[in-house]
Amino acid sequence: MAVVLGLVPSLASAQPVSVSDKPGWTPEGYLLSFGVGAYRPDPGSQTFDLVYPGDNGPILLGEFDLFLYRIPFLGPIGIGLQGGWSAYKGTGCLAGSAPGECIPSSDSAKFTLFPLNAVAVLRVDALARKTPVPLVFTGKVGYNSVFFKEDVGSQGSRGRSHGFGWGAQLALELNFVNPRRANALDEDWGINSSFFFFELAGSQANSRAPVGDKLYFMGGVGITF
Amino acid sequence: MRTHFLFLSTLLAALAVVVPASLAQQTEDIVTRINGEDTSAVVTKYFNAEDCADPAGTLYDLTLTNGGGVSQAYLWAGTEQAGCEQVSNRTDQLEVCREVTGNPQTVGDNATMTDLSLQALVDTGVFDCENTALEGRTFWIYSFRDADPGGSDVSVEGYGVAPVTVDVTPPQQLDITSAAEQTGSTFNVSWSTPTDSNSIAQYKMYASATDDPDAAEAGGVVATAGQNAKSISVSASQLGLGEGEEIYLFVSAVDFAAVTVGDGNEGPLSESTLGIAAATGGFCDDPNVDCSGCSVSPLVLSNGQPSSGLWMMGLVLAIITSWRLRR
Repeated sequence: MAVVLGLVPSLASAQPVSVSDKPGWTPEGYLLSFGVGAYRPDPGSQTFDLVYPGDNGPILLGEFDLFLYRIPFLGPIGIGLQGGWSAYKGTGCLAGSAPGECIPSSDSAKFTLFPLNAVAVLRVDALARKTPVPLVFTGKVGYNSVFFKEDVGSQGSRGRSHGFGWGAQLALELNFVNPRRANALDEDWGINSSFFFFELAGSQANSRAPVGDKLYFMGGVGITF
Repeated sequence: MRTHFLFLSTLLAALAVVVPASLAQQTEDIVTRINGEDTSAVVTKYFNAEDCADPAGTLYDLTLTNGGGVSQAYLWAGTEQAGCEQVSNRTDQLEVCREVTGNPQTVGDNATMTDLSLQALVDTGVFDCENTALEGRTFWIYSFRDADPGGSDVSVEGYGVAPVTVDVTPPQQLDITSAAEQTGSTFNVSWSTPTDSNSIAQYKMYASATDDPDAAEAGGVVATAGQNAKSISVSASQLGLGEGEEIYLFVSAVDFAAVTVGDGNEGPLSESTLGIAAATGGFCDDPNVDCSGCSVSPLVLSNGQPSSGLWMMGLVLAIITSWRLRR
């Protein structure tokens, strides 16, 4: 926490605005995105698979990034916050089931995840800014906190797990589709670019309950402004 | 041209006379109470199978709309749209309009006739209290103001009609789609959508220690579900079951034919579902999984770990600080 609080102001004051040197662009300081993907807790134990077989979410995840500094010839670096939801449906097991087995009961089971991730973001947009290739690469590392709740029959449990998380994103900026409209959007609304993205990510939020997923993917849309 | 003008003028004048007369609406009176229950706010006033089983004991109040100053009324039972205000329809041969015994009825306070009997309506032979369609059949109670309609047509100001629906046909037996035997801490009984679902107001669940619908019905309702429900769930603890104990569950459908939802005609109980109480578990019951942490702790978890809430507050603070510095 102290590191975050200490670093942010100094970084901000060194380069007050994350401005692309692309002519005609308004300052590009924020990113907002929304993605949908497949996420399944990968706990390394059979219990989740027994209770919730064959369900991959989906996960819905929104992200807000704040860019603090533009690294010359590379791209902006900043911090971000991700929040999302995913749910799984299954059948509760009879308590008398042998270890590693599940005798289905008449109780329905529902497991819901609410990931809340704080991440550091490096967005490499030099290719899109300096060349006609509209691709942007983004790397993220951070702290994943996954709130969860489980309802089996009429009983419920809640908890939270945390751990390291990462993400690697490839985005296709859409300004090339209609550059004139893109410029107008920037002038009128300050939206520098919109993009489609595909992201591979991993979460080790397994501290209390193993609800992380070593590798999951997501696709979606976003804007920078 | 002049001929045309005259023709059109005549036509318009005729319409001016005829149209208002044909558009004149009969007054709609209101059955305001059935067996002591206030029906003023109920759109459809029903007499159901329970009422028809004891018509003499089924009493209702009838309030005359715009009935101020009316001291007595002559009641006639009619089928829907019978046109009992016309003398030609008030014949025994047509059997669509019959006079109710006990006329004239005294109109009391609030232009209301109280404690009228369903028996009198049934005795006319017009009201069918034995065999109705699934969603009932509507009849009209004609109230002729102050004067016996006698042998002449009655003007629209001289009477009012109170529609009531007789419905003695219960919904069909529900077709159960869930497992006939269930083991767990909750039991879910589901059914396929009944063909008469439009007339169903509520579903009821009954329970019995034996596979006996009569015993279950005698034990009373254990759970209910609304008109659009497809299932009812009940927990073993709600039923007072200990682990290993069994119970038989039945469901039935109830139609709209009542003032209070759930008091309408009730269909036969379904086939039974055997529920066996047993402890169950999920992911959180795995001994390697810790679900005991309080997920809503703002700062510190019960085990001393910092909550993500603390981290998030720090992040938000950092964002705000940096944002202010950038300005």
